[in-house]
Amino acid sequence: MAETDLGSLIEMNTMDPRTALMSFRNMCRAVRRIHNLRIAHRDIKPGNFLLMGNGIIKLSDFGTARLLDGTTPGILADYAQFPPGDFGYVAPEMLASLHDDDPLLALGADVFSLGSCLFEIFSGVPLGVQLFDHSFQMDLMQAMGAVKRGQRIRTYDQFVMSIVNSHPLPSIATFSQDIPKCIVNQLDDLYRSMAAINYRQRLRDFEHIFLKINRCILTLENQEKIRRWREKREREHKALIEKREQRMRSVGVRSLK
Amino acid sequence: MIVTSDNENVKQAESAPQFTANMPHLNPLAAASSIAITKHADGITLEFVPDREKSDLVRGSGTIADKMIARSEKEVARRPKSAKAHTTLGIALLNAGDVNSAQAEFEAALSIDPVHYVAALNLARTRIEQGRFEDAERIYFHLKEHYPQDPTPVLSLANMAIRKGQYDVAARMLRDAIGLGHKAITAKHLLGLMLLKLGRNREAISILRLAAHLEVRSPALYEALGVAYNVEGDYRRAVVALKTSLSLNPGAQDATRGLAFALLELKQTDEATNLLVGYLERNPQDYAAKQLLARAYAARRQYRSAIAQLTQVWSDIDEIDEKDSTMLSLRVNLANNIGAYYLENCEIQQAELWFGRSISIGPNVSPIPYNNLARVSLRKRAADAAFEILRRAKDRFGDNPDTLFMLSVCYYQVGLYDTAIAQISGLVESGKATPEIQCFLSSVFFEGKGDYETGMRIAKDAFKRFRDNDVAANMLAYAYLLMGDPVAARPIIEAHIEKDDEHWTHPSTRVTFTATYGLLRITEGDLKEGTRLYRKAEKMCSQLGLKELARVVVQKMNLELARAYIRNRDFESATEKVREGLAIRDGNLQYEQHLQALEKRLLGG
Repeated sequence: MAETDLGSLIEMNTMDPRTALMSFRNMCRAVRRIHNLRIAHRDIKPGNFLLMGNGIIKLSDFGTARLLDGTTPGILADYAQFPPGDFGYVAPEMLASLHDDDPLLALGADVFSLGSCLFEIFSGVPLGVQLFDHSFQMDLMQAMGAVKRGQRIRTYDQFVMSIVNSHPLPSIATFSQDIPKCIVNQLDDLYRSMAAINYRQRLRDFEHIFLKINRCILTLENQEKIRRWREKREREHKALIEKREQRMRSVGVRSLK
Repeated sequence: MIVTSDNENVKQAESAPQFTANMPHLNPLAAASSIAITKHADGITLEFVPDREKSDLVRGSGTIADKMIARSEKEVARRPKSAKAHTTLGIALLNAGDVNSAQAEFEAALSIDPVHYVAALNLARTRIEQGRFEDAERIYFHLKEHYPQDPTPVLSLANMAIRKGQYDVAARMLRDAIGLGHKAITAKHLLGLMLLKLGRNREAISILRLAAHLEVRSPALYEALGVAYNVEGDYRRAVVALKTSLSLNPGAQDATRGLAFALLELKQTDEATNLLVGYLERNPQDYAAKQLLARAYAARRQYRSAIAQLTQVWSDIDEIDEKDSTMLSLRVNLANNIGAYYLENCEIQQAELWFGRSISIGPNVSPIPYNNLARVSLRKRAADAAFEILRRAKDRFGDNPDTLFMLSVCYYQVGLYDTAIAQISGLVESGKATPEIQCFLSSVFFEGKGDYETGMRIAKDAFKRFRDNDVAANMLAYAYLLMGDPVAARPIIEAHIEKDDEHWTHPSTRVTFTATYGLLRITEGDLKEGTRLYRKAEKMCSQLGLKELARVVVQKMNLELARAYIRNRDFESATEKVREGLAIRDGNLQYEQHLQALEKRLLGG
């Protein structure tokens, strides 16, 4: 039986950064597993990751999942004009109903949702709620309003090109003061590459994603060592300069200060 | 020199150039909104621009925002004691434009967790949206105490200081925020705008450039850099920065207008026209862009197209509240500019109608329509009407330089040279005179008073002050020719005569310059070439629709040829030219007097 889900865990705000990253790595593993089976989950969110008694994380709620075997029909009508998934984590191309034209896009949309989960784990705010604000929505509706099926991808690409730079993904550190400074840049890079608004630029290679997560974990685990190493390097650098100046003074040359 | 500035150089009433710098949106929790920057002669003003209207997004209409709210409400129902759930619902409500409900949710979150960072910052944002700045400030101070190393409250407090006009305090706080933040892009962006306000343009540009280099994909930063260059007057760099901004965000309205402005300042009218035409197809309601397009068309002498753009704006704003002073000023300027384009297009009646309309809408807004109407009267040889209009302008606006200039022209035309000089000599002495006014004063001394020494001194002074100005160059060359020194006049004329059409201050300046070149050739003894150049100037007048000026050019040609023939002792040809000159009706009064004097001399043997 599951003890709790990750959504509740985020709610309690009891996870330290290292545990959060380890959990996130397990979430990515679960999604990679279903993607390898050509299944798109389409409702990835912290609440759908169950934490078992033995610490294992399991992905649940496959109600909106689809087997991408080439025979899956268009599903737009099934969802009464709105795409599947939770709006706090859904990818923008799903909001634009692009999966109707190309069901394979749902795989990339799952990665976006994972990026959103990472954002929420550290910031406490679902990315979709923060990102898809009024202006985004108006722009999207204006761009996609009267576009027919089969022509959506092209229109959406134009839309994304026009808004991608004016809607930058905010830094996670903006929302939380508890994130260790040493991993802020790495975390931002990881979530921004996974939750890139332009699905063509999104990082979908899980090996690469694991590499980035591991780098964050390593930095965290070794931050004390890194700090000491940096201090040592600085001391050595200063000593070197001092030694060089002494040698210069001995031959009568003075540095300009 | 042929005096043209009296009635040809009609004045456009242009609002002070306004640019908008949008915030880079890199820190969604900081208090920030777009800032309108207006460039005046004595510095710039900053004004916060409200974000896009949210009224068209209604709750319950089945939109994405509605779904977000439903989702967040479900979460709150599940976890009523969760500050995070209330905050998320608050953000969703805020995004949908429901500020009051959002505020209630943030307050609920803060009652659970009094130092909930995101809830507190968002609550402060809602307070700002409601104009409750003191409440917002209190929240930011509270946050600053709890999170002393966080730049967002400091940045937001700086924003509050800007709203209160405490620019030095804001600049100091922004420097603190830069010290606290990692890249501190938003703080750098705001500090750049602040330094622009404080007149430290170079510093502002350098900090905005640094911010743009740190965040190379932010269109807002390049836009702000372009605005800074536009304010500084470095239009070439403004074009580069704004083009970069537009390549990053192709639909940006403010960047497009800023780029069009810079291109027009650089006289790249074709590029500006193409940019604006494409832009207006997508944004047909942008009045400012339409006015810029009208300016571009006018620079290409497509006055009909320029008028069409302005009349469209005129009819669109016809029903807007007339008590709004900004709109009143816009309507006065529009009517004046439509009149000005009609006058440039030689449709005098229409011009008169629109100038009159401009005055009747807002008699106390600007002296420009009065002066332009006086120009029309002078064109119609109605000096009395011009005097009356200018008297009204003087009563309302005092000693406006352009009004004084026009009065001076009126007095000159009726032969009251001393009064003409008295009107504008104060302006010239105080250094407030434009090149046109100073050159006109010089020509009054030459043509009216016959005081060559003073005329020469003023012409030299004008050339010294406005070295690159073609009007000043023309006046000095003409002065040298009158003093019988073609050697000194030649290099001055040669420096300008080959300029392209768009580089002349005004099309009529090219006409007078060509006429002065003709005078040079006549003075040098090449009467045939001199005549050809005068005829060329006359043809230019016809092409520009300047019939009155064409008559003056021919009159002047006959006068100068007659003088040359007298110098060559060919009295028969001189008499013929004098007669041809005197046959011209409604020319220049002074030239007519000179021709009459020559006729007396020739007839008297």
